[in-house]
Amino acid sequence: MSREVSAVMAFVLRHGEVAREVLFRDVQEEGELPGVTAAERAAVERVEPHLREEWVAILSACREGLWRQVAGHPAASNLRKSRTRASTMWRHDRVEMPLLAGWKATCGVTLRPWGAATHKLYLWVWTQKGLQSIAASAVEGKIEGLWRSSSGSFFLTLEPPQEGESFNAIGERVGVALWSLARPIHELLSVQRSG
Amino acid sequence: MNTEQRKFLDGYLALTAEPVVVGATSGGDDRSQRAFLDGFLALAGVDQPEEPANEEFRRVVIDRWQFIRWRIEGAVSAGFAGLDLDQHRALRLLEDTPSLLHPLGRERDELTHSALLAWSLERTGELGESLRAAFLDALGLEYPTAGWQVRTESVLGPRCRVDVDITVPGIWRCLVEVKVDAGERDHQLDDYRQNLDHHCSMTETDGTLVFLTTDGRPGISEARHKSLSFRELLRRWLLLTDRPEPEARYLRQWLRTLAREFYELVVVGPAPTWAFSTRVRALDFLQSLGESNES
Repeated sequence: MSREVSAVMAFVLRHGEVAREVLFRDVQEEGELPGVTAAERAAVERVEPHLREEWVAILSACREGLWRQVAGHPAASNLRKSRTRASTMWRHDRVEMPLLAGWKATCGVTLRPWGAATHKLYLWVWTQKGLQSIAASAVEGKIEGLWRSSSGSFFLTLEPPQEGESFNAIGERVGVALWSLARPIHELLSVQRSG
Repeated sequence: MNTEQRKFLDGYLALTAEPVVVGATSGGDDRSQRAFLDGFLALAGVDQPEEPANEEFRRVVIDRWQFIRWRIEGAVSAGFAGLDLDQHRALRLLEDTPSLLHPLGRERDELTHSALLAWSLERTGELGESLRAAFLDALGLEYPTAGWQVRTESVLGPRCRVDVDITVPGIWRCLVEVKVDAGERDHQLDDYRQNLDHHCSMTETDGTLVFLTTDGRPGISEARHKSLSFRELLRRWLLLTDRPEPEARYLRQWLRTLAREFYELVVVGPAPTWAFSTRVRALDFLQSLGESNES
């Protein structure tokens, strides 16, 4: 497999919701999507293993990108405990890492359309309910583009991988942005918890 | 005429039947040329190299994406147009009901879902009877729906506590292990099964162990158990909650939480404004309402 984003992957990412529903559908479990022909399903099934491998490689590159950023930091040992399996990366579009011991806070990357016309890279930090206000004070009003989900998680949105972009370059831009979000939260929570 | 000759002739006829369109870059003439070439090569006995998967995908899907998209969206819309009265009723219940656990931030909390399952199973009156009957039906079991004693967080022994424990005295005991995000601890289902078998042999009753998850997967243990999904509960219980009493309303709100949080059925506002994936999920769900037992 090339270590660059393929034309097929770029197509999927550009076409968001509908492409995802066609391509990611577990036909055996969920039945066929209305309107898809046998020839189209056969073509999807042939390309799916390649797409899946590339999908996992991109999300793995995102995780490795963060690991490179945190080298030497106290958070590194927790973050390296991430065990998100390839099947989860494919089925649930995400890779997750523990930011605090005991999974009291986690961070990760999700590659989804989430109702939009195209996929995006969503970088996030989740904390237990009781830690949310401390986490908020570490980042709110301090990071451009920061937004919060209805469940209180902190998000940054990046453009999706582009055709020809190297996996390393994706990992690099994700790692830098995610660490800019996760680091202040980790450091403030660590101080509060030790104090 | 042999198969190779037939393919050649079919391809040739298809090619000659298509008018040449100046400037056309894809579509019917491409496919005819391909069929002709396939037939010619087959007739000549030449082994044609298999088309790479990404090329086939480009030819079959990417190049025709706009048409495929229209076709799929049309088929999904037609699916909604064909819904029956019960399916419409279920859709309305999902649309009109707020999520019980969303404001609490407890959408994925196992203990909360276990408590609500237990609460549902011990309702009285017609509502409770119908819920218990549907629960048994989902498991493919036949037991009385009266006399149920339901406990949560039932301690079976050292390091052995099950989420929901149902007893119908002298007849049946059912242990339900609920998993939302967490995995099984080592030998978890084996411990429950062993405990259940011991109890059942002492009391001469039947015993069922249920593994209730978001996706209905079986447990990793080889201990005898039945797997069940929250989706199956949602599917079987939703219409039963279309009743005026407050308890039915609570239950409906919990089911709405399951729909929203576990199955991304975020149906808010009129259907044409929903994201495509929401329309597909909602249609999948509504069409499954009439299906028979999944377990």
